Amino acid sequence: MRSAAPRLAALAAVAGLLLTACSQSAADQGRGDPGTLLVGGEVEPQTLDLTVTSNASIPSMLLGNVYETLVDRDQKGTVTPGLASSWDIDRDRRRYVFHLRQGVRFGNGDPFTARDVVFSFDRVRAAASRHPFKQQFAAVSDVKARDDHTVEVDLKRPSNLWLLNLSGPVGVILNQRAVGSLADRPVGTGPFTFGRWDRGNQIVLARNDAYWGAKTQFKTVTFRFYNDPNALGNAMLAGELDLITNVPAPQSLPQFRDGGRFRITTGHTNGEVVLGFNDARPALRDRRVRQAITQAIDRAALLKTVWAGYGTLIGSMVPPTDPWYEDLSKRVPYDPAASRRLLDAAGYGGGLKLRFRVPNRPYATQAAQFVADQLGRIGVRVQMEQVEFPGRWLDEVFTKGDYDMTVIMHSEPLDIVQYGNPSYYWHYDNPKVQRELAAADAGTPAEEVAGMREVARTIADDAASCWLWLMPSIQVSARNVTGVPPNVVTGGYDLSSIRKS
Amino acid sequence: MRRTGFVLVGLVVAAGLLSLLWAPFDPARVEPGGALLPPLRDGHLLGTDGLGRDVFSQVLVGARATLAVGVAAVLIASVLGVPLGVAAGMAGGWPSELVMRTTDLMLAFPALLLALVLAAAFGASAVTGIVAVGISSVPVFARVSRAATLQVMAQEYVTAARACGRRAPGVAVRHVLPNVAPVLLVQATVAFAIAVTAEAALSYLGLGVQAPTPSWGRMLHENQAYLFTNPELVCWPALAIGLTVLGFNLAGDVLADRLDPARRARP
Amino acid sequence: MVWAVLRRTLVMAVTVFAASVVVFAACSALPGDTATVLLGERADPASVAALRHEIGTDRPLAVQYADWATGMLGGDFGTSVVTRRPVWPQIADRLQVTASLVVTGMALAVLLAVPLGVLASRRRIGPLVSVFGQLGMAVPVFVAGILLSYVFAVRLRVLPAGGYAPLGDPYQWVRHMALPALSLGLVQGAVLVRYVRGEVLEVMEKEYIRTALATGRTWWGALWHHGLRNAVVPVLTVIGVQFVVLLSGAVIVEAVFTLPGVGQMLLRAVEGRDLLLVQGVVMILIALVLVINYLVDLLCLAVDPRLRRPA
Repeated sequence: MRSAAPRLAALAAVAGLLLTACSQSAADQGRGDPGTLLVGGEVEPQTLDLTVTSNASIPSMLLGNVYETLVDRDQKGTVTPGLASSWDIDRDRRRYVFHLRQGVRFGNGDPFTARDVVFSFDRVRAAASRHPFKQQFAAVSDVKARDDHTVEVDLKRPSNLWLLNLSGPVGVILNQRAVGSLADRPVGTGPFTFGRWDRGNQIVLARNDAYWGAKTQFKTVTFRFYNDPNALGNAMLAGELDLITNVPAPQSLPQFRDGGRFRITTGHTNGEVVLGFNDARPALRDRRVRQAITQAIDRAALLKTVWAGYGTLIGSMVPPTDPWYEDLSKRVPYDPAASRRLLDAAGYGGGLKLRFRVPNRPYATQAAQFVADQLGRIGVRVQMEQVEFPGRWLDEVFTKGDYDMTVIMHSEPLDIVQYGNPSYYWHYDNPKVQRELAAADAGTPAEEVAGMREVARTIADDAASCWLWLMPSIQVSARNVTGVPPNVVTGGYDLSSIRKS
Repeated sequence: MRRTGFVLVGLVVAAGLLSLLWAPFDPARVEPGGALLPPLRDGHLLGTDGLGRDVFSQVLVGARATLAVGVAAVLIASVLGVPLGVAAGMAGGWPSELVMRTTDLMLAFPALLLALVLAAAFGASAVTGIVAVGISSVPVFARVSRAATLQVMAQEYVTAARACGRRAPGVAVRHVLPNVAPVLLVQATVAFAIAVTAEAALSYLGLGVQAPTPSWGRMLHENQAYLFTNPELVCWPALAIGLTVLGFNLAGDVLADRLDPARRARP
Repeated sequence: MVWAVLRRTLVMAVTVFAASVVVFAACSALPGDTATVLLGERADPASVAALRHEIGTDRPLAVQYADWATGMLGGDFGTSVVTRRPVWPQIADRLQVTASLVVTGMALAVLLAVPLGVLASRRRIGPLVSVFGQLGMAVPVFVAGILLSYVFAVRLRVLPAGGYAPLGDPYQWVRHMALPALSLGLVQGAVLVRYVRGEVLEVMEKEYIRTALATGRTWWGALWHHGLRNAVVPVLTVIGVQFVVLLSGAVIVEAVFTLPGVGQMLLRAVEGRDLLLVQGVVMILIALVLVINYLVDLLCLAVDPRLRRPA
């Protein structure tokens, strides 16, 4: 046997390391520095290319910060100028002329011109394009550059939604030389340039000093990813973050209330939590059954228990940040007695059996257990089954339609249009809704608002789905951070209003 | 001290059996008005969770899932592992070598990895968890029974039985299995404890027993959001899991000491 | 000796090959394909088919396997469709984190288990140590992690709650590694204590120890000079076997402390149906287990000459 000395020395060395580790206090790297902002988020995207996947966490970081769009939407949902300082619409509402901002440059120094707009839009529209939101450009027939700073877009039919959608991921203006590296080095015209990506850990944005608009206070903004909600909360409590932009579970909020170290900001998102019915099933094609289910669910109590009362009851597929929002939450009220009568009238009083396939996300499973219990009380037998999300849910429920009921959050802006699409996974086929949607899309701004309001009411009365609640935007920020944008409107998280002292 | 393990195991089994007949509340019953009640309020022995469901009833009924996962995993492991091990031990030569190499390969698959891939393939559920845990215990069962078989086969009475012209299956059933059984019983308690922990871990990652079936692992998963406001909601299921694992481990130790003469002699 | 080493090497190579077939088959059986998940809810069927063709998932399985396996031999694990990056460098990035965790966790476990296990074999302290062993085994790894993070990161604020610092900055690395390694090491150590105790008890009853004791050595002296070397082989074997358990534990600990290791990457890859990445990670982890066990085997050969005879 060799001497014991080296072994003991090694032991002492490791023990020493551990002791120093324990006796030092946490170094708040960057937390006190007003030039950096540390943002905590839950899901790290696997790619940064928002033209190939609909993953919402990508635009959340990049849209409005690295990438910009011709038009933007403010916190109230109103369309505002973006890279286009103004635009004209001709009389039959089929030709848009955008006047572009001059002197704008991309993060890599290239000047921004009408050619970039044509390039970006054509890339979405191309026959071989696999853009997840290609459908939003279906109305476009032609995109031309009139000169360096004027773009002309012709539509096949008038479409208001097209312009609104331009503020979302489909409308981002790409740099022609950078499309090869969209997945890991995005280049845009925004107030930030892409800095670096430490995979599995963080993404760093850096200030674009050549930005055309108001310059940001932050030299760098770091998005850190925590897959576990408790770890995210712990990081904030331990002082490693300035801001959590989306608190994953409101039940954890009380931990941020003590001692006034934090500020909680709530607002609206586009995320309607929808109890979806598969109308391909005869029972659920019956409006009375859908209405009976809707009336059997006490949505106010559901919101209170499942999401700690955070969020908004909506009653239709419209968030308060859409121009045609009105409160429809009491339109089909909670009324179990009426619910039983409706079921009897529809011929399902003797018992209705439904397969309830739910994605394995906390909000969905919690809500589904509540719903299953409430439906049990009116005599509906619910077979609940959790399905892995996104893989299996997308494949089996969404694509193949193998379900009776499901719960999912629809987070895309303006997704009310899906009620006009009978091949969507609800198989909801109502010609009245389809007519109303088409008319609203083609009308003047006033007609649009009135028309969309009509659509929202029609689907509510028809109990096309049961809208459980609108997901709130819940943010926690350190005391010295102000100006967080409360609402999520376009899908982008706009950093420009945030200040840190 | 010697009896602690058996008492704990007995408690868990009793809870599972009792829950088949009676529980103070329906564990799936949602009470919007009565969420997050503290223990002993309104007849809720351990209070209620975020949906207003009775925690005690969930713990009680959850014992069933734990026992089911454990029993099923042990069954899978023994049904596949024991014949494999006994056959390998009796046959010797290349079949034995093949079985050993196959178990080597299986030992290299971490149970969790297997569960993860299975969950992705067939959906996360109690069944995929059970299969994963069961399959990962197969090699241990196969090896233990092979080793025990080798020992038995060297005994004189076995040699005698074979010399008398008894066929291999007959020898296996008459002489080998009874002698291998005690060792396997010890192994089963160990596998059971592992299965319980694995179920909790899988549920923590959201891949175990699925809603609305109550299970301790899933309670941990669901109540995690309340860790800072109502830590007791996480404590109850954690305690239940800990005590069950402790029970099976202690019982296994005692069994091992009793059944293994070599160990009995030790201090 | 040469023959023994050669034979073990061959067996390992065959096992790795068999594992690759199993991994490929399992991953190909996954329902919900990459193209559908990537393109999301609004994609049209033509785009999905086009993407499927582009990434080659419409080819026969045997061709796909041959392609993948031959690539791996040259260190090429393919290019992920989702991230558009080669698979190997992605895994290599994350492997550093997981390796840090597993190695420090195992080191802590051994540092904890060996002295405690030896102590436990003494009659007086034995029961106390067994209690620690039993408790450690009964606490799930993630519960230990959550508790440690609650105490040290949230309440005491002396260590970070999560994240990773590369080895280049040793001080930060130690700070970030401390809690995860401790959660893993405590639980794993509790398991090892039992083995160490058992082995020490067994060794100390051997003839040569009795002889040593009879010739005037103290119990500790006999253990140090004659016992440890003989107890080392079984304990080493157990450590090799426990390596698999440790990897599973690491996946969970990575989730608790948001360490960007292979476990986290694997969870995300399964969700996103990044098939090549899943295959690559699983394959590498299994190969790692096999290689570690192979090395342990060799180590045992070196320590214990009796094993060198052909089996």
